[in-house]
Amino acid sequence: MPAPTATTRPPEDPPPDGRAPGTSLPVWLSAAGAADNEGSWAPRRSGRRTEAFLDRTLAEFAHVTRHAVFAEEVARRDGFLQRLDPRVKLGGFIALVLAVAVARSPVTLVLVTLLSLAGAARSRVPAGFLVKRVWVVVAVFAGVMALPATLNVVTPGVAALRLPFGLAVTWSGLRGASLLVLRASASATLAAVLTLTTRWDRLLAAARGAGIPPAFVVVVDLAYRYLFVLMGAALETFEARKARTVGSLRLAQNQGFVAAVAGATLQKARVMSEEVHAAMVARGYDGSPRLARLSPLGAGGVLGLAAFVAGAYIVFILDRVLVVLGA
Amino acid sequence: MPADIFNLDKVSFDYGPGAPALDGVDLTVAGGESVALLGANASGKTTLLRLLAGLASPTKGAITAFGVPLTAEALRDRGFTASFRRRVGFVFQNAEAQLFSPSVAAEVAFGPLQLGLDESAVAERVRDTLALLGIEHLAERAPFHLSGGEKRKVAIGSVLSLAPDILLFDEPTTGLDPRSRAWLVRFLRALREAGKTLVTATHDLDIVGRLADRAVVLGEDHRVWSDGPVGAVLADHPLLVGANLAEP
Ligand SMILES: Nc1ncnc2c1ncn2[C@@H]1O[C@H](COP(=O)(O)OP(=O)(O)OP(=O)(O)O)[C@@H](O)[C@H]1O
Ligand SMILES: [Mg+2]
Repeated sequence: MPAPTATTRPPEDPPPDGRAPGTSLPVWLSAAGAADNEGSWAPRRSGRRTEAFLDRTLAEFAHVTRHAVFAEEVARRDGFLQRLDPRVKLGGFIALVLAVAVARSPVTLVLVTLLSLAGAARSRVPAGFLVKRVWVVVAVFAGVMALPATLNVVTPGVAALRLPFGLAVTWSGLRGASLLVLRASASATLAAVLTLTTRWDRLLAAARGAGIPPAFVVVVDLAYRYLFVLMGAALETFEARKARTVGSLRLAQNQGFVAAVAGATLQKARVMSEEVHAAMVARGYDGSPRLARLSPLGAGGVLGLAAFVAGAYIVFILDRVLVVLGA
Repeated sequence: MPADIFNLDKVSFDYGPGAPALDGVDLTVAGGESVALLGANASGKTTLLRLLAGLASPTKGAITAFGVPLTAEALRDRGFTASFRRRVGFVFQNAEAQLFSPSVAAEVAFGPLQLGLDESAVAERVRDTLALLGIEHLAERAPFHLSGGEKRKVAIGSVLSLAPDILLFDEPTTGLDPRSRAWLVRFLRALREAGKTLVTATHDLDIVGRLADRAVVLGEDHRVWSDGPVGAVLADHPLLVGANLAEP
């Protein structure tokens, strides 16, 4: 190969004095000291608050991240439920949720909730963390579904509490509503225990094992992953904006900024999805996902699954007995 | 001008229980010096820069900036953050994340416009900045459609146009071709000669000796392993190997 000739020296090479043309700074940049300093060295307070909106958004992002990081750590702990095959857990979850759905005695529902909590305790899931997850679901559910069910317009019966406009809270309404809330907390606790003790990838593998179409599983998986990637991208953009926020923006500018970030994030999402697609194609993806086969369940797994189904059946029978006994 | 720009006292930070990113970091950055922050992947360099930039607050320990406490509470004050952010510029590791304007020129103009400069002054800054970075020809392009190296230059430009006194660079040479990389090192030196304070996070040992006076090594345990003149730190091969910065 011929050596490059001396005349091919690129024009951008630094001149012999060692200073490239592009490194002599303009006056406004090289003048030291910020103009707003007014002789005081430390930045001075103005007593006015920064944009609460940006701070709230960033705090929200940080909170979600902390939560996800912690949940992942819990799922990796060495505990009773973490050691079970995810398919066994998913199967058991489905069986127990069915039992909960048809249960008519509050005692059964409390029992299932307590049992799930005990399982969580044996699996080193912090009680506070679990309760917080469940509580949100139950609170929303109670507000939307259960509260209206206590009223005489929904559930007629003997009034327990009279309200204005001819409304009243009925005893049968209260009973129905408490059953609804208990059922919601039992299901939510089961779901929280399952998701907190099973890593996301293993849960998806179990879903594939349960016969959910691979294409669906892949889409859910990508959506979940890219939610975090996109959230990260949006977060960084917000932070970059924050790092360059040196004056206060007018409302219109702020709205413009939010629109710009939304636009930029969508652009990024599009480019990212193109890149992801290209990366998948480069690794042999042809439009129909072929996912890794799961290893056979094994005798222990089958036994575990059988135990869960039997447990759910016992819960079902117990519930019938309790209802007959009037509990 | 007092010597210390930043002072960190036993600063720890975690992203969640069991996810530590910094552990008991003591650090001082004096005005006008150029400090290299060395560390393997995940050692906490980016996290440390985010704390210095006031984008996050320590989980434990305290930071003072310009002699006053840099607390979450102080950062909620408009006057404080405005002058803090004007003086401290942060060039992110992921260049594309910090670009959000419809054109390169608008991106570079974002900061100066907020400073309240008049139109001709803003235009001058944009012109100078683009010329300085050699990217005049990109002025009307959308930042998001540039090459990686071009995006990085735009990102640097968008921070420089604010004329900050302190510049935080996170892995500034990643993705740059040799000529751009050599130019960047010279450029950082020029900034330092103009009296700017620089903190540069990197694991690119080749450039460290040329751009920094002092080197701080973060270990994989998220603690400060070494802090001293750049020559001495770079000569300590066992230290660099231990911190996963050099091959044994
Ligand atoms: N947003 C986040 N959520 C959770 N953990 C995070 C987050 N960002 C960083 N971490 C964790 O904090 C630790 C330090 O990360 P940091 O980004 O500061 O490292 P770094 O030294 O900049 O690494 P690199 O050289 O790869 O950029 C790592 O263990 C990382 O996994
Ligand atoms: Mg980093």
